Amino acid sequence: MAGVWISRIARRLTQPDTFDRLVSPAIADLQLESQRTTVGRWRHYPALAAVLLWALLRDVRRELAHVFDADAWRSVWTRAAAWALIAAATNWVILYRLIANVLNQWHTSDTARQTILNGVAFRSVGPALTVAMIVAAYSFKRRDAARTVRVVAATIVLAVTTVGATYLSTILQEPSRHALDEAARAFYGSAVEARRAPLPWQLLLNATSMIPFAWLGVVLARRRGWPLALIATGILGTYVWLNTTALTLHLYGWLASSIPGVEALLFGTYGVPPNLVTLVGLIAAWRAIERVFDRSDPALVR
Amino acid sequence: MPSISGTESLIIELLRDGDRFGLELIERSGGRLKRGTIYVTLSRMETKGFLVSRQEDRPAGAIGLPRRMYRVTAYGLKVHEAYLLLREALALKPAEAH
Repeated sequence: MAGVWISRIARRLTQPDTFDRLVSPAIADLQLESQRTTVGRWRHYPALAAVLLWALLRDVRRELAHVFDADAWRSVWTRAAAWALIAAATNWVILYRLIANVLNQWHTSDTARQTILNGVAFRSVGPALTVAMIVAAYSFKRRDAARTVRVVAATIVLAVTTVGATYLSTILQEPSRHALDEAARAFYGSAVEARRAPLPWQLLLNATSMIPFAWLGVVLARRRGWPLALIATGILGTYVWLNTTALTLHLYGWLASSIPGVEALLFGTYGVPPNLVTLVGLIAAWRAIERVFDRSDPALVR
Repeated sequence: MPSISGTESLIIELLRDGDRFGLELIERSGGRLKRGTIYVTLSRMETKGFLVSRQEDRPAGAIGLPRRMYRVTAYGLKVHEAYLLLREALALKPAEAH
């Protein structure tokens, strides 16, 4: 039967009311048309895609209004901002001490040392926003248990903010990053050598950036299971393959010299593949744990 | 103050003589209604109160999703008639066109 898989996907993605009033009539007509002619059926698919996109936008727009209502500001965003501030301050203190220790070992000059340590504040922002994302998502879930779309809408807002902040902080910390590379090169003899062994603060940053993906992995595994893990693996495989090809062919260097600002964007998103590995791994691990302890909650599976 | 577009007015015109579903409206419009926009327009008209809809009655064991049948409301007809009157009143007569 035509449109069965579209119907399944749309039912999961949209609110019941939106599905009934907007998407379901279009699918029903597709099914009717597919019984008449093949041409008519294929002409209906682009229309169906447009309807689905519109339905998703409508749902997200509707939810975004609630994501920023007075109650949300009071009970969710204030709490998320407080946690983000605490996380940023903690990050700043830890990173400052770790980097300062490394610079002591490298016998870095005072000028370079000051430039590098000035950039620590920008490095602390990204992980703090990921903490805000987790706190906001959990607060929304606790406040309004049935509204997963609202949590997704809030996560989208914060994810966009995080990418924007990472992009900006990458540009702002450029002098600091450059000075750090120089200091590492002076100590190790070459920058390549320095990059072979990740420094403690780099490991800490990478680990922190994986927290939201870990959270996402656990939530999705509970709700969506293996099909999603397979899709994520497919996307990840393609991304890694494209990335490796681009690196091998030196396309990133060419892109960076051709398009202003693209280097910062690439630097800001380079952590996506390892994070997706974490996501897929967590989905697999969670499924295994659930199977062993048989604690899956049928009420959570739609 | 209700607002009504040309497309919405056309849909009401097509629904005057009975309940219809989306594809039927597209076919009857002679190409003026498009597949990509009609369902969104119908949903918006329902929100405005111009239309009501229901799922079609189907025999037991029928496969596929039930179609949604649309019917124009008295309010929708009233707004449509007001729209036609206004359009007629604003249309330039041949003598005024010069």
